[in-house]
Amino acid sequence: MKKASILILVLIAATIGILVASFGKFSTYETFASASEKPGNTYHVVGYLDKDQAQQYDPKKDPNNFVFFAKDKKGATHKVIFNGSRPQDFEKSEQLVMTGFMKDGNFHCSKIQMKCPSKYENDQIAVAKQPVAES
Amino acid sequence: MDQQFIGEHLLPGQLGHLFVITAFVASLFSAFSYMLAARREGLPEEAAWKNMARWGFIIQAISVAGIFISLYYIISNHLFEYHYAWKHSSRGLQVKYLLACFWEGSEGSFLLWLIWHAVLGLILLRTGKQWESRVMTVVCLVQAVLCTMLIGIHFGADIKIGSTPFSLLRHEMSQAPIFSQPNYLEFVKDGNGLNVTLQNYWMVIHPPVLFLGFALTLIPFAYAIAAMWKGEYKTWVKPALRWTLIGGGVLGTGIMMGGAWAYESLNFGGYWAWDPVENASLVPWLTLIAGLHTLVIYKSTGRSLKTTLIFFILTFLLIWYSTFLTRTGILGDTSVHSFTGEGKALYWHLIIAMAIYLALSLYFTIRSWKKMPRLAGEEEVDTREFWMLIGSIALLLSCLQIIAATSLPVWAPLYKKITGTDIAPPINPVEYYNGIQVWAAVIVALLTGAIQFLKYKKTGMAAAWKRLGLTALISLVLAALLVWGQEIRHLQYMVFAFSICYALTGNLLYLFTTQKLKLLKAGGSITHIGFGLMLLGILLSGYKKKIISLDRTSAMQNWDFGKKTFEENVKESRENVLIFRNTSVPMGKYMVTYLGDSLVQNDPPLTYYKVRYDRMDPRTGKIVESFILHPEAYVNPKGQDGISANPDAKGYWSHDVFTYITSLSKPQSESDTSVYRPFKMHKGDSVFLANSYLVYEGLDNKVSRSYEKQNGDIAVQAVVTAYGTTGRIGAVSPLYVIRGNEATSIEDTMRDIGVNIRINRILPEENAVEMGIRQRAQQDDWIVMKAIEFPYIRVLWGGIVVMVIGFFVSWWARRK
Repeated sequence: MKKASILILVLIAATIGILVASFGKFSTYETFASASEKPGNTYHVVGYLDKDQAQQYDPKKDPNNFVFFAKDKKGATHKVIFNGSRPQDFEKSEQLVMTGFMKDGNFHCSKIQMKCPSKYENDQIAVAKQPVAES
Repeated sequence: MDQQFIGEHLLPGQLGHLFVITAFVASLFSAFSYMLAARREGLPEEAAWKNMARWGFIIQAISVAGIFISLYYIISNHLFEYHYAWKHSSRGLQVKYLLACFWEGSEGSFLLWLIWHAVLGLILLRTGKQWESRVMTVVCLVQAVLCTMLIGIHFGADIKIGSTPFSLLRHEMSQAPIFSQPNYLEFVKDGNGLNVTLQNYWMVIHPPVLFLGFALTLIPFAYAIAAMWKGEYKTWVKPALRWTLIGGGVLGTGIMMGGAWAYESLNFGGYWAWDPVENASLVPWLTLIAGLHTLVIYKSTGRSLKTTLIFFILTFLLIWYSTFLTRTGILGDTSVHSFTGEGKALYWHLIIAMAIYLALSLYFTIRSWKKMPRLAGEEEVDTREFWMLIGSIALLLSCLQIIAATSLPVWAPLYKKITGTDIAPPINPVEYYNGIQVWAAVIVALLTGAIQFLKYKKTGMAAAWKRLGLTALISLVLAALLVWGQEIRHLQYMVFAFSICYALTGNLLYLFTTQKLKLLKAGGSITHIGFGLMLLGILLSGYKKKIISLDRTSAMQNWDFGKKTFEENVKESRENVLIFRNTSVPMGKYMVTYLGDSLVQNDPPLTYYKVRYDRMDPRTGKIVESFILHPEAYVNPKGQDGISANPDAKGYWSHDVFTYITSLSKPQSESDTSVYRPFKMHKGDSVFLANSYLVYEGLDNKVSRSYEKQNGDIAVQAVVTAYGTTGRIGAVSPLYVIRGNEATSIEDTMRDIGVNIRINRILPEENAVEMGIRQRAQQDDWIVMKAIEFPYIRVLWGGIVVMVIGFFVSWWARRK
């Protein structure tokens, strides 16, 4: 066998190894209920803003605390605590993808991705992102 | 019955649509004629077919220019009867952004791509020589496919081929009742305008460069197909190599401009976030670079021909795949970029386009696979070609990982069917990609440093070992200094630091000793040095990036962010800091003071916030340095709720200090509880306010401010000067206008100190005026901001510039 082929095979094997090993880093989309089964573990939850309930954002008290209620795809409504400032056009969001974990019945999240419909436009995606500090 | 509408300009749209169809037909005609010319090579008819094909291509190029001019005419004349103009532009848009709104939509982007193909095709017409017919057949075919993206023909109710930029507003939204009125245009006063986050000079220059890069990947692909078609594998190498060098330089610039844009104006907190849209354009660049290196191997040794052809085909397919990922909306929830999805029609259209290219490539590859020249025997381990091939494969594998992870939304439905799990992207994509890609970068960096000391075919290893060893020794010392100086604590980044030092030392050594600084011959070394510097910039800026705006004042809540220590939890949660006007908050080594805002009448209005940074000597407490940053924000633009912010940065050679607004106090009108207090003032009187005072300088009947003047107006202005603690701030001039029997007061504002001032009455008998003054309470005027320190970001930009220069030097050196 050619030496180049051997080395390339080794590289490919290493890549596959790394890929398989890193597969565990992929997250899953969960509901509030399934996320509460493993409290403290971080997941993506897709949901909708519950517009009937009040939102709280008072930067004077705490600029990194935005609280609202969201309904997940199964219809369960939970309090969501976002550690960041209130995203732009939040009222108009049609769908939210929240990254965080459940604790004591509340969803603590560090990242929100929103989908907003414009009047005549197709979906637009906006983001409120709290960049996680580099490790 | 056709309804008649008033005030529409239908001609430019009809012309534009005609040009699209002409361009499509002419491309097909040209492709067909070129194909026949190629098949009759050497026969007398060849010249006639070639001539026809050329004319076909020229007509195509003129039509593409015609499409551009029609659309530009529509946008620049604000013809809002056209959906494209209405959706992407507005009357108040500055001229420099007219081009930007041109390519905000996907039709405009495809048009940009068409334009570049046409330009490159015209160059190939002149320079193609014996390869012209075959290469241009491929170019014309791709151009025809691209034209179908703009055709916009409906078959029945459901099938739509392409999307024309010339469709009318009333067709796109036929259900809206306004379009039943013949004079509907009188109600469409203004367009939607360009998304405010895109109103930026990067939006003017980044897309053209990126799409030129996209277009340039077509040419190595076309040469690869042409070579297999002709069965001749010698003379295509030189032109293909030069085009690949240009492509590598331009596409690399385009991608990095995107990074610079993200860094400078979008609030992603950095220049690279491993976002799917970024990845999708990075991957074809990496395969193009891999193909470039294997082509050099082939040129020098006759090996790696098949690998090269596959790399060029793959690059071109990946460009279209990236278009598929970014334009069809398939990325959905995983990308922060807000390209509007064109839905199912574009989805299938692009799949068919990719299938055509794949079929074409497979046909020629399978047909000529066995007939391709190959050398007997294998590469020796002590040769340059062996390690260059390994490096190219490493690049390919790194691409595979990136594209596999990026395509998650594509394969997730299948995965769910098999396993039942709804898989999502990693929680922290940056960490995920960095952790894997650092190893690919290590391999590639080490190889770029080492390979130049090896020779093609056979290396005298004694001399090579000496140099490789010397390079390693120097790099080890440098890396140790780097690891120590930058406090690098992770093993993989220590190895990364060593590999970067190795790449830089190896190439510098080669540049000085072997190439004797003949820069024009040293394109490769220059590119590699630039690449090394870029990696160094990535390491330094990424590893030590620091968010300095940490909120220490708010009531602490016991949040657990999964971090080990309390400090880390704090850091994780409190990156936004609130500052009241005229108060200071410590951030890193600075005291940061919010001074006030000022409004620029833009479309939509833009607000600047003045934020002063003072750096104090820790021992003496004296201010040693002071500067003001002006982060900007569009507040509630175009009826949106909230702010759209642009950061501002102060650059040092060693780091940038970066600031942006994340939240604001409500606009004055909504939150202000203060009232106008009356003050009777004689000339020279002053009024004391918080942090400032105003001096009334008298009345003036020459009005210097502009207001909506009418004939017969009697107007006076009061001259009032404002002073702060550090001296004069500026002047305000409220007006008092008598129009007929009515008197009106026009107020003026001094936003720096939050003051509104108006003339209540003029008291001529007392030689005085009564002013109404109100000052916004300081607790109602605040910003929430975030500040980040990015170290050594200039090393990164400098490295990229050097790298791109290297590509062009190589291209220039190979002109003969």
